Parts: sequence; C-alpha cells; structure tokens
Amino acid sequence: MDYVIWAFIGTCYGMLVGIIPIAGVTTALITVFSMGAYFMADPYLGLVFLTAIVASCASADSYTSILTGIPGASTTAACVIDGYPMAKKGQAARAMGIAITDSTFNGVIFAALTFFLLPYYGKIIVLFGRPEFLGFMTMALACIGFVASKNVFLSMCAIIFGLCVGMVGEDVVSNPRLTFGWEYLQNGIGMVVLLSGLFGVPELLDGFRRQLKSAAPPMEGNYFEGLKEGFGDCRRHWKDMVRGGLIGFVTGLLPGVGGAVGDFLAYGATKAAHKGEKQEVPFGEGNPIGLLGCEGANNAQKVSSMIPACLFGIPAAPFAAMVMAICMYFGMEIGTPSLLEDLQFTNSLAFGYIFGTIGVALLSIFLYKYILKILEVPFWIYATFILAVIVYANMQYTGGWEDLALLTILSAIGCVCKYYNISRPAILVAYVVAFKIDEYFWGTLQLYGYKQWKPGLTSMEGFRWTELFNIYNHPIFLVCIIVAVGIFINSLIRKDKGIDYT
Amino acid sequence: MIKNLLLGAVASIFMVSSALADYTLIVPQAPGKGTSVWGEIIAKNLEKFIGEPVVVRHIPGARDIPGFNKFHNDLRHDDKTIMVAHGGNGVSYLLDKVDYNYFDYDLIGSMNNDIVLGKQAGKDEKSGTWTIAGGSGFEPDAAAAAMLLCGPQGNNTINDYLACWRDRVIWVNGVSGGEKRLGFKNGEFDIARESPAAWKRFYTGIKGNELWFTHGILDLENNVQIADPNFPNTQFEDVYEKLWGEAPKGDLYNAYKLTRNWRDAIQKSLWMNKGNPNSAKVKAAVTAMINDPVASAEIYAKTGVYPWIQDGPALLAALKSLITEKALKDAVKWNQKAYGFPSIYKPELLK
Repeated sequence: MDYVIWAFIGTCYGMLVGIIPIAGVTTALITVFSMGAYFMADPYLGLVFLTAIVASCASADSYTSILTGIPGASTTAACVIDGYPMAKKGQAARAMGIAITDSTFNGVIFAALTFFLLPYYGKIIVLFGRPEFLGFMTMALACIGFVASKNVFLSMCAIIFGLCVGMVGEDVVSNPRLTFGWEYLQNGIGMVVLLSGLFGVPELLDGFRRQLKSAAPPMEGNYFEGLKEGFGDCRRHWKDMVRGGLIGFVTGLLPGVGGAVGDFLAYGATKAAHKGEKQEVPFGEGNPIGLLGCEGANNAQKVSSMIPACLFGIPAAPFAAMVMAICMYFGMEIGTPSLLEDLQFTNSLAFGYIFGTIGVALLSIFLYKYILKILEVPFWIYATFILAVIVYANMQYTGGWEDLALLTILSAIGCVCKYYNISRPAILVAYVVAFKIDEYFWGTLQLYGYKQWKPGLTSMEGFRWTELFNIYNHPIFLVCIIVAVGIFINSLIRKDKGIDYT
Repeated sequence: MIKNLLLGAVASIFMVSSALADYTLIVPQAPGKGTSVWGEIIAKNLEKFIGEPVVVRHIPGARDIPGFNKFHNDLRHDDKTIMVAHGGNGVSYLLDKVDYNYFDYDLIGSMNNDIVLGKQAGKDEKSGTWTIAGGSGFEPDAAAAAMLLCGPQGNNTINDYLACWRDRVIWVNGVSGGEKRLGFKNGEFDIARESPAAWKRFYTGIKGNELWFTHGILDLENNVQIADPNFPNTQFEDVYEKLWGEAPKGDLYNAYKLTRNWRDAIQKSLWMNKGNPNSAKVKAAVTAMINDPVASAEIYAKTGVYPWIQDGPALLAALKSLITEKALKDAVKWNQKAYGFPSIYKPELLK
C-alpha cells in the first residue's frame, strides 16, 4: 500500500512542478533530494516515488507548453509550435486530448519495453571490460557534438570546462586533483549541486528576469467534447504518434543527447512524412498532426534515457543524472549488473513510471480547471519557493557554508552559459564522462602494459598494443572507437545545419 | 526581483535552521557510500533511544580524512557531536597524514567486522598471473592475497614479497565496488572483495566464484584473531597453512596484521570527545539500540551479524600493541611500492 501512496504523491508533485512554466523534471527531482533520508530503510519506495515524479512531470510539462506557449521544460518546447496556436484558437481541450493520449500511449508502451527488458539488457554489460568501457565512454564524449552549440569555440569551452569539473577531486590513487587547495573539493563536485547550478537556478532566475506571466487563452465549446476530438485525432494518426515515440526512444538512448533533440527531431520527421499533402491547417499554425507527432517523444525519451544510466552509469539527460544521484544516495550503484539483476529495482522503476504516466493522465482529465488556476499563480511565488527548496536540498550535502558557496559559483556559471548560449548539456556529459574515462584509461594501461601503477605516462615500453587493438580480443572497443571518431567529425561538420539545441 | 530573491533566501535560511537538531553524527563520506548509509540507519534508530533528534552531517573529502580531521580540530568540542568512522580511517591513521587521534576520544561503540575475499573458481594460487582491482581500504586484503599467491619467500621480507608481487600480479587502481563485481564476473579480475553482507547478496549461489578467505574477527578478551562465525574455516591463517603447509610469518604478515586489525576492529565505529559529558548517555543509548531486536535487525541487514565492542580502552590497547616501528615501516613501504599509494611513516605513533 505504501508503494501506491508514494506513487500517488509522486504523481501529484510531478504534475504540479510540471505545470509550472520552465521548472521541469530535473528541478522536481532536485527539490525532493532532501527527502532521501526518509527512504533509506526502503530505497525501492523512494524509487517508485522518483519515477512517478519523472513520468507525471514529463506529461504535465507538455500541458503548460500547449496552454501558455511557455515550455514547461526545454524537452517540450516543440509542443509549443502547433499546440499553443491550437489553444489560441479555442481548441485547448482538443490539444489536451492529443497530449494526454500521446503521452500516456508512448509513456506506457516504452516504459514496458524498457523496464521489463532491463534485466536482459544487463547481460550485455557483462561483455564490457576496461577497454570496452573506455571505448564506450569515448563514444559518449563524441556524442557531445550533438548537443554542443553551433559556435565551435564555445562548444570546446563547454566540453573542456565539463571535463575539468569532472576531474575535480582525486586521481585513481587518491591524490588531490584540481581542488585549488580547497579541501571541500577533494571528494569531487556532486551531481546535485552541478545540476542545480547549471540548470535549476538559472532557469528560475531567468523567469524572474523576464517577469514571466502565464495564463491559458479562453477555451471554446465543451471541454469533454474537445478532449474526445483529441483522442480521435490520435486514433486516426496513430502512425505519427508511434513514429514520434520511436524517435524519442532512440534519442534517449544516446548519452547526453536527451533534452529537446528528440522532440524537435520527431516534429521534423512528422512534417517530412506529410510533405506535399494538403493540410487543413498548415504546420506551425495549430496543426493537430504537428502536435501529436512530437508530443510523445518526450515521454519515450524520458524512459529510454534510463537505459544508458542503468547500464553504464551515463545519464542521457540531466534528469537521468539526478535519478542516478538519488540512487547513489540510497547506496544503489547505478551502472552495475548486480543492480540490473535486482528484480525489485526494475519493478519499482516500472511501477512508478507507469503509475505516474496513467495517474497524471487521469488527473489532467478531471482537474483541468485547477490546472488553469495554477497557471494563473504569479511566477515569483512558486519560483521563490522552489529556489528555497533547491538551496535546502543542496545544503543536505555537508550542511556547511561550502555547499552554499559552490552552489553560488555554479549558478553564476550556469547563468553565464545560459546567457551566452554555451551548451550546458555538453558540460554535464563531459563532467560525467571525465572521471570514468580517466579511470578506464589507466585501468586499460595497467592491464595491457604497466602491470603496476606508475604515475604519469613515463614510458610505453612493453605495452601490448596488438593485444589491445585486436578485433578478436576487443571487437566492442574497436567499434566504439571508430564510431566515436565518425560521430565527432560528422557532428562538427554538420554543426551549421539544423537546430541549435542549446 | 531583488525582493523576491531575498524572500527566497530568508525562506531557505529558515528551512535550514529548522533542520538543525540536537545530536549530530559526522560522517566523513558523501551520501550513498557504505558508511554514510550505515550512519543514516544508526541516526534513525539511535534517536529513539537517546530521546532527542539525531541528524547526519556529511563532510566528505580525499580518503575520507577531512571530515574526521574537522571533527578532531573543531567539532569534537561540541557536547552533542558524534563521529562516525570506518575501517579506512583506521588505516589512514597509521599510514596517511591525518590530524585525528583515536586516543583523544571515548569509544561509544564499534562493530567488530570482517571482509570476504573470493577468487575465480579453481584458479591455482601457485601459478599464473593474477589481476587484482584495488583501491583505498584494500591494503590488508591485497597483502593477504600476495602472501597466499607467493607463499614463503626467502627471508619473508617486504622486498622478497615485492619481487613476487611484480612478477605475479597485475594491479589495477581506482576501481569502484560495483565495477570490481562486474570485472570479477566477466573474468577481467581474479579476486572479489566484499563486506560480508554484500558477499551474501551478490555472490552466494553464483557459479564461477569461490570464497577464498576471510580475515576473521578480533577476540578482544584474549587479544587474538579468531574465525568469523559467519564464515567458519575460512580465516586467512588457516587457508594459508592449508595451502603452504606452514603458518604465515615475516614482515608482510606483521604489516598485514597491523592494518587488518586497525581496519576491521573499528570498521564501523562511533566516537565522542574524551570527557564529553554526554558520552555515558549516548553509550547507554547505543547499548539499548544493540539490544533492541528491531533496531539491530535493521543494522545487521546492512553489515551482517557482528559483535559490538564498547570497551574503548581495551580496544585501543589491543590495537596499539600491534604498532611497532618495523611493522609500521613495512606497511608504508608495501603501500607505496605495491599499490602506488602516497603513504608516510609516522614515528609519533610509536609514542
């Protein structure tokens, strides 16, 4: 019963934060970080709570985008393109019907596909040794090219900064590194404070700066009739709905890509699929097909982002990094096969996510009036509260002034990055990958040459190159390295095309 | 905007100050690590018996030393501050530059624990190269592994064992617990090393591995190491004798015993400043907690069932008896040369 109660609380809380413009899943998770101690005796209960928040927040984010034209989070920005014009034309209920059906369909289908198969995916990880992990991390680093900005100089700055942040702490033999004499940094920079500084605080401050106001345009006709029309749109154009979900699912698998990329790709693919067809309403002016083509991508991407996080400990999106941080707080080692073999772990993830997805759909149908009321609450009221909770959550780390100082420094950096369009997802991925690459690099060196630890690359004499770079010994390693080089070159060459996702 | 930000700041300060509680457990680790989780469980259970709120404050840092140093230099003078230390802190006390000193504190309670070592099933100790994933806290385990792999070596000096170690072992630094498990499972590493609870959880009933040895636990009354009742007939000394036909001896063995007991006998321990007026009250609360079936079940689920020691002077005397100039110097040399750790010799420990 506790599981149902906490899944319900998570659903309600996720929905509430999702409705708030700009505050998305990552913010919702940061604000509940301080509750971690409560779940220490039963971490699976905490997992159910978390995943219910993720699922409901992902859906509720879309409702805000559609009703107000202000993205509930960057991941639902594409929904604004056709969703908000529909709302402005008085078709808010129809748009909500599409959003509810699409989110629920893609959320449940891909959650089932992901979580129930997660233990089987775990068998893949046993094939990974030090060199394979090194190759995979290099590939993850190369994927940064996707989320880096069009400005190559700023992209390089973001990547180098992220790598440096990830290296802060200790090296593999516990010598302090990049701590600048600040003892507090010897344990590295935590995921929670980094996410709060890079994403949480800057988004809230931006809302203050813009004096954000949100209110839904008036709706025409009967609400339930409009919803039914939306359900009918989804039934008629189910292929667009499934395509959007599939694109979201695949982009969620790519380390660090996540974010808005899936939604925009799905929107672009929907437009391309209907190219040449005469549309009743052109795309971008309130076309229901445009909305249903991208809406579910967000939910599918959220769920598939958990796969690289669970398998390799690499978050595919900021929210997945936050889930990892909380799991680590519970003492669960994300990215290890033993956790994937733990059926209670995967069942908790599945239950929370599916409960949250279905729960938020039902709540949205019947509480629509109240959603509109929440949207009318001035931004500064809830943003101030969220800011306070973020500060509190970060002070759970040591409770000392250092927590506050680091949050302030990283928030300032986050604001600068936001202002100058420096890719914050690129910083996040580089941060996560940095320490792992370091560890696997030295591990591979020791396995194939040094035998025992030697500080620095003093000599490569005796290194067994042919043994390491042998397709029969390490096919995964070699494939990863080749793919990494290809991805990196391709993403840089094509940087001037498409959308700047920063 | 400024007004709103100020409101946020006031609200956050209120929330933070309202969370300040009477008793504070200082944990020298980030949340989520082994001792942190143990500390959270202890805090939750202890407050029922102290009758006042108990909160956890994490002060992480390199090798979990800064938090303990901060306790020693500053926080211990607070009457309601309790230090949570782990075995790694004990080893660091011997081999690293630290400020803290166990002899300045009252022992509130210590779990006398063990570590389990596994190996790839059927792997022959007497031949071949062994790949070992190490990290801080691994010192006694790898030393014991070296003795089992090398057997009696010349005069059993550290140099003799170092020569054998370089010949027989590939040592991989900086591998986390979960990745050690993965590496052991896919055959990349030959040795598994776990806490007793983790061993039962992750390895029991899994093919391809066998329990190699345990360190046993300290019998404080007689000041000898005895077999771990949870893993009978697996104590290192017995396994060594069975394999090599004689008891282990020599410089590495003495260094091993030193680091082993300074780690395992205080593997999860609680300390307060010497002469703290609340020590007796907290100690009594810990005793009540240990005797409470619900609280102890929750603690043992994390650690395995191991005895608590609350006689601080006797425990410290037993540990102190292992510190000799030779053993200390040999432990430092082994750490530096075999693992690459920046250990230092501290003559002040002999005083």
